[in-house]
Amino acid sequence: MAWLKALRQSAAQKLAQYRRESYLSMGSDVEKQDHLVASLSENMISLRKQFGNSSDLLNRELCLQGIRVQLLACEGLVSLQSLTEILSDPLNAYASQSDGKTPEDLYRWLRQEVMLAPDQKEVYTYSQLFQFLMSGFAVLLIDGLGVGICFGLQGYNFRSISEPSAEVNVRGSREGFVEPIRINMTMIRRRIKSPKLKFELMTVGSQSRTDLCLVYMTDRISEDFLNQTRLRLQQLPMDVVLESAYIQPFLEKKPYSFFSGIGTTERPDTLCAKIAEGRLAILVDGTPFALILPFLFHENFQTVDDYTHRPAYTAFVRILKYISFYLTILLPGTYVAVGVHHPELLPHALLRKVMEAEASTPFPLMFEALLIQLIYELMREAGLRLPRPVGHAIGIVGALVIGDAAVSAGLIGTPMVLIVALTAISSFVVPSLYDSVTVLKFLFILAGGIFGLFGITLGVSALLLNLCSVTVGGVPTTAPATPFNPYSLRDMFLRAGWKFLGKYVFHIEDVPGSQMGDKRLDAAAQKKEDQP
Amino acid sequence: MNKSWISSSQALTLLFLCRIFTLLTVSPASPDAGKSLGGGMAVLAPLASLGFQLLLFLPGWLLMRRHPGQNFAQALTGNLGGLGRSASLLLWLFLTVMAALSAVEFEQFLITAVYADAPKLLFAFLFLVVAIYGSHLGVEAFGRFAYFGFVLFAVLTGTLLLALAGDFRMSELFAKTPGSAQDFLRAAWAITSGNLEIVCFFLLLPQISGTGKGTFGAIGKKLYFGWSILFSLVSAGLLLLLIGVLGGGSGGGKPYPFYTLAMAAEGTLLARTDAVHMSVWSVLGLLRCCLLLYGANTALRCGVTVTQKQGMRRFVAEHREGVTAVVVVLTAALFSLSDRQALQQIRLIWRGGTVVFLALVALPLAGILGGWLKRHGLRLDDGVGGTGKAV
Repeated sequence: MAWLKALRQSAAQKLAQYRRESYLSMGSDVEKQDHLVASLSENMISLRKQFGNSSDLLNRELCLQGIRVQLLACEGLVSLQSLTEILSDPLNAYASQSDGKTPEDLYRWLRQEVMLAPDQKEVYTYSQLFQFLMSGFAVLLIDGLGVGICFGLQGYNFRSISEPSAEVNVRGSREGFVEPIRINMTMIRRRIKSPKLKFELMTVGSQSRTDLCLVYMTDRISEDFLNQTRLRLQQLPMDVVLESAYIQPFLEKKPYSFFSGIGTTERPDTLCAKIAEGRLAILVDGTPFALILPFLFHENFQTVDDYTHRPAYTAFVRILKYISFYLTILLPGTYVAVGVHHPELLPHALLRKVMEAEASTPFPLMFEALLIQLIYELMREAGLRLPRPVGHAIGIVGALVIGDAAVSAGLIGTPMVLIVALTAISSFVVPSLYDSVTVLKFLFILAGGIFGLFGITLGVSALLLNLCSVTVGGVPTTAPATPFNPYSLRDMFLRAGWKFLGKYVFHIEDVPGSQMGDKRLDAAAQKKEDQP
Repeated sequence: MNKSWISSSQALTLLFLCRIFTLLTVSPASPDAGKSLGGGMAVLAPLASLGFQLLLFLPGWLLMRRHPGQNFAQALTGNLGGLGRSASLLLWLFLTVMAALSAVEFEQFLITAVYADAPKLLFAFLFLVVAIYGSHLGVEAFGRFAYFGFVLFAVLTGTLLLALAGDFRMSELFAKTPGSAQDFLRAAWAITSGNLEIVCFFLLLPQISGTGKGTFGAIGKKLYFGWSILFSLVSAGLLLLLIGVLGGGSGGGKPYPFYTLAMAAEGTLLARTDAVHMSVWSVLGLLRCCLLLYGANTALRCGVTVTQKQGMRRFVAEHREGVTAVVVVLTAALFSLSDRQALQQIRLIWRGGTVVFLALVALPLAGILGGWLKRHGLRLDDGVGGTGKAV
């Protein structure tokens, strides 16, 4: 059997050599300097130099059957228990076998004969080695082979799966995304058990090397759109990517617009529903917020509960949300505009009450509105960032100062307090638009105070023009309201019953005005295969 | 994937609303101040204007059917060369001046009816800033915005109908002095003559989905006739309401007849419909200015071509949106600061029909002639203009 052993040895050696050479042949001269060499000592010197003797690098040199190997791991990222059980024990067992083993034998044994870890990779460069090392892999370097074998033994601590704080629901799943990307991927896979669901991992951030995953259904995604997004992500000019919001502006056509054509969610069920509609999801390691592309404006007003409640109640809640959105943006500005420029628009009884309240205040109406909104935003920001007990105290102080003392002192009129309170409550009804409406309400107070209703109308027009210009992947974010399609309205203001919704599958490319083109990935791949 | 286009329904809505702006500014049945068509004759005038609209459409259509996938200015430049570029510049000028005039007319309304103490030019300037922004965002953006405008207009019309249905008097339609046949034709022409939107329609054609195929495309014709018929019917309906409520003179003697109608609606079913009217008017005016400025920029793109030589021509070609913006603001300032009589004279010249005749009859006919000569190996512009490439 010696000839068989020699054959195997030679095959393993050739395989490792072939893989290494084929990889090396792809890189430039600069990249080639980054490659692992056959000498373990040289590799370790170079590695320590690049790693700067960082305290969290664990390295242990072993001698297995006379072969020097180096086991590397990052402290806190690998599970020590798994390392012992999965890697150390079998390696010790290997060491106790008969002598006469070569590095190639060890490589073949690790790669082909034992199943030490299901997630096992090979690395040929330092940059790859660092990438895996810092992603919770244990890396084994063998003297005499310019290749490292990585074992997925992640064991770092992370926040457990819990209910998403920003998207709370009454009925349905309580699971929300967590920070590690792999956990999030499993949560999606558990919900869509289709071979058409594809995860595509890539790395972004030249320094942070953050894992990012494109998630889509191959039979529903537009090929052009997917290629375009891939290209944008590959060209991302960022050193560090810590959150999905970092990459969001690079995927948008109009990053300075008040509204975005890209949505976020913390919920795996919401994300799965969007993926099934032919959209692209992007998961970023280290954040529970996934991106959804493209995202329609009216989807800001939808929640998971809309699909579990009865349609009539859903319609009521949605209309309430639309009203609250417009109230938040326009109520303070319109109140100021009417009070300053068009008092004749108010009914006499209301006008008298408002005039009486405002007559006792020393500030002009516009200044008063800006001041009280500013105080409210200050208190909200302070309450948000402080520890919870102190945050409550801020709330009490705010209520006393604004609600009571300022009115009693005659600094602020009671109707204005009412307006601000109503605006504040309304602003929380659609949390995904909170940041936009906060800025907009100040702008509309200024427009209304200076130019009256004409200013408000012009402001709304400019805002709508801006919103109408937002597209992602050729899909207008204002669809299906404009470009209009009555059929698509079945899930906009109202929500049709499940019998109807289930009968006609919604697809993002079917949205009116969409220029994505019906080039779905599977169809395109099939076409390529069909070509001679 | 990145070509900007609008659907034919968006184009129809946009063009319809732009024309409605004119209807809100001045009564279509009273081309001259103080002289208006009365009774049912006034209601029939918009329907009769359909004939004039067809006549104005024909030369343009004859030109455009030979240039599928091109806009009006491109077709003129293609057939007339240097002369065509001059014609494009003329179109740019017409549309820019029209946009400025629309802004100033709206400002005059605001100063007259709402903000009596407001300084001149302020509102026109603000109005134009938003319109320039809209035209800069492109035809897709303001094409989509047109749907919001349509909803607002429908709300206003519905409100007026509900509020004034009780005050409607059928007898007003049978006025004793309905006017002569000449007055009737003049009123019908007046409705058509202010319609530079037809030029915008021809300039927008390649960006309306379905119009680029074949000879002019079936959608293009349908769209035009749909637009004309819809506008005529709505105009006739609104005039019917105006005459039935305000009296036989079709509100001709009064400035801003529909604002007057909105004022009349107060105290009936709903209060303060004039505020709604003002908002709708602002939106429609904005849409019109956006369309005119976008059309002007399209014409300028064909009119001024990039040359290798540094100079004014190159500067204009590279900054055409900026140039249009500056020209429209300066023109609006000129109109706004001139006295009311002078502005009325400008308005009358504009609405007399010379400009529309030049833009929609003379230029297309010249284009057709140029095309014919070109096909027979001759050129109209031998020795005129330079060579260059459209930006």
